[in-house]
Amino acid sequence: MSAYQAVAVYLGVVLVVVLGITGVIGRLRRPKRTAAKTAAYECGVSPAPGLGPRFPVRFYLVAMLFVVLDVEAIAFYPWGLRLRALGTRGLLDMAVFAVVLAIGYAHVWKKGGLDWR
Amino acid sequence: MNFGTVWPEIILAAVGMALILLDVIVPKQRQRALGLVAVLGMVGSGVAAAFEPRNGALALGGMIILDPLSLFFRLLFLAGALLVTLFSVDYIRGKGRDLAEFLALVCFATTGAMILAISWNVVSLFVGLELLSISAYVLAGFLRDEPKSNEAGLKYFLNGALASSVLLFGLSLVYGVTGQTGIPEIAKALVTAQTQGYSTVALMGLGMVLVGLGFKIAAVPFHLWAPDAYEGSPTPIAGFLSVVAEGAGIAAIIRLVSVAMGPLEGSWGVWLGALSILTMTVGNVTALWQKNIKRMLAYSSVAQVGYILAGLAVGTTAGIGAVLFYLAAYLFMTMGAFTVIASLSSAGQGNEISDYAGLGVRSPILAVLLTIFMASLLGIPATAGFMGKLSLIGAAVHGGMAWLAVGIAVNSAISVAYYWLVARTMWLDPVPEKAEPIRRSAELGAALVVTTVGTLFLGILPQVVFFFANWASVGIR
Amino acid sequence: MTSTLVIFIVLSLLTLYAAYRVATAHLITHAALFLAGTFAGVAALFFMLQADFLAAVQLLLYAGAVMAVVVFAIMLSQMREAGDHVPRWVDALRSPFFGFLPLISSVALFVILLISYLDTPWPSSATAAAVNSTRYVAVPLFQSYALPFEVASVLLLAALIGAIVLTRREDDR
Repeated sequence: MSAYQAVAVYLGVVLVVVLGITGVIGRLRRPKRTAAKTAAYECGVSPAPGLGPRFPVRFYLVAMLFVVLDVEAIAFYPWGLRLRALGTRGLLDMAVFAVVLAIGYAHVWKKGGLDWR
Repeated sequence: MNFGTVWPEIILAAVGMALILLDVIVPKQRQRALGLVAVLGMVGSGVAAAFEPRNGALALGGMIILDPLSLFFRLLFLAGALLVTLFSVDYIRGKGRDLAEFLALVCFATTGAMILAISWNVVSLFVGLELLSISAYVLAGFLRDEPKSNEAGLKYFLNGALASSVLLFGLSLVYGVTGQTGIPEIAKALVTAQTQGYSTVALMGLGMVLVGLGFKIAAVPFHLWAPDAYEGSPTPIAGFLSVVAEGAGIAAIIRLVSVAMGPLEGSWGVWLGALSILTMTVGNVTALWQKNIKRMLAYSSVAQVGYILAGLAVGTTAGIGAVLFYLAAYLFMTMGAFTVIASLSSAGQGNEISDYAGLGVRSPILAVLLTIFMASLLGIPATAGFMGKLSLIGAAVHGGMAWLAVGIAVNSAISVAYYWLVARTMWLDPVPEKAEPIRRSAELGAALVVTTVGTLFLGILPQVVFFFANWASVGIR
Repeated sequence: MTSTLVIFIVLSLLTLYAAYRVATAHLITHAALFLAGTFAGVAALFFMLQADFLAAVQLLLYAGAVMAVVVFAIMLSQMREAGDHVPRWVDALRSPFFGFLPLISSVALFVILLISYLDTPWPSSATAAAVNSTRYVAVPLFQSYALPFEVASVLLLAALIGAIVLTRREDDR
């Protein structure tokens, strides 16, 4: 654990600073609960604009693709760290994994999952 | 280590990938040919399965076991997937959805079910189950423009995700106590653990595993998703859920619970028997009130799961053999019933039971076939369902659990009422005015022939499959 | 030893508080924020258990990717926010489905788990924990667990296709 002391100190400092700033602001101005305050986002575009325009579902597709490819990316970390120890076998394992995912990526691309328009 | 021992799964997954690549190349109007690609892939996978060793050898570092049971489940799931493919080609194209994606997901789901059934390690078992489940969630909601299909996909997903997490929690407790992921190692460690007082957490873990799998097979306190999922799913997928997805749950129970819980014997057979009686009774009684034929079949399949659980509760070799035979019979009769429903709904007919009025006049062949499948689900002699129930009852009596046999008999009597309702509507109710004769495609015809022949063959000459099922059930423990 | 215990207690309390606020927050965005806090707290607990690979995965996947999906889902939903001023816990406890039944069942589950955990002599790991566990995850993942690893890639492929199937519009292509 000692190898991570620097990280722990860094995280501690970040936590103290962030909590300190929000705490001070909270002290300075007591919030009142109003209709505007209970909106999903307290500023920016209103998420429930009545009959107004809605966000296209594409945002969600992007988020889902992100999750799937993020899971894929995780597998590369341990593989990269032990590349030499794993040898040809590890290379082949990862090649199969990557090719399967590449097929999925090609499908998403061809089906227009990456276009915006 | 070589991957040669999983050729059937590799072939099937590769066919799925080939299908989504072909999707781009093959023009929209020629996509019917993709059904042929999928069928050939499944047949190839089945041939590969037949050539795998079946001597109980472990492979891939103890991840999988190649015994007769593996062969049985591989062929069972492939047969189910094949029938689904045959009768979904027209159905999915008729709904204007992408056939390639549909068939690819069917291939992946079946691959997952096969991986699960041959697993000898809880990690690969769970990953196989998840591959099956995630593909099946998407398939249930595949008709994106139909609210019912969305509802089916959502409900199946929410319940399935809950079930998976309960199952995984249970597995983590078992791993915590035993420190093992291999199924036989877990069984061995549980025996040692029992003498040292580990068993509270181990029992809790195994209980959670059973609850999670109970959701997947729609056993009774956990069955509430089934009617909505069956009603809203594309009809081929309703068949897939009841045959392949539930069959995979049964396979997991045989692999996981029978082997790992064997050492903890005690009273779990009685508990499983109680679950079985509850499941068949609630399924049959609720089916009496259904007006939609897919919902009725959903409750009927809940009841069938109850019968299957009776064989698992007995737990003897004969009991497991009866379960396997029943699964084979169930494959043909349930798929047959759903195929008839799919051919009717492709022709624009509704899914209410009252829509079946006068079918005996409008389309005598389909009406005769549906009557055969219903008779088999009910258990009339000379059908597969009869031989299946007979062997379950025999196993229960010989296994010293005669009360289960009584439960099966009483429940069969209850189920006469709702199967009779459909038969009466088809044959005795007057033909509606604007009724048209029904047309069938070649693929649907092939699926109907296979399921009918299977249902009658297993009912009249059951010896071959009986032999296979008993052979597969011998070496489980 | 005691300093580790203090850190553990503080982290657990923070995580539990965040989890509690996920269920009780007035605003769905606040619930999402606390959910991120819960994920981060669990990551910190993994870290304390010297499972630093799991901690990193927890941060990247849950506090990162899953939270992105949650935030997008909130943005896409048209929902009415609760604007009442009755203290939430009074209101909640009265209702059978959102109040006392879940409370009773979760407390019961907790007590049962706690009793059986304390009752069980857990086996202790003989091997010393690794400093960089990512290196030690690699060998089993790519050797004895190679089959589940490759099946997982097919699973991710199925998930990619599923995402396209369920969200793409027909007129897009």
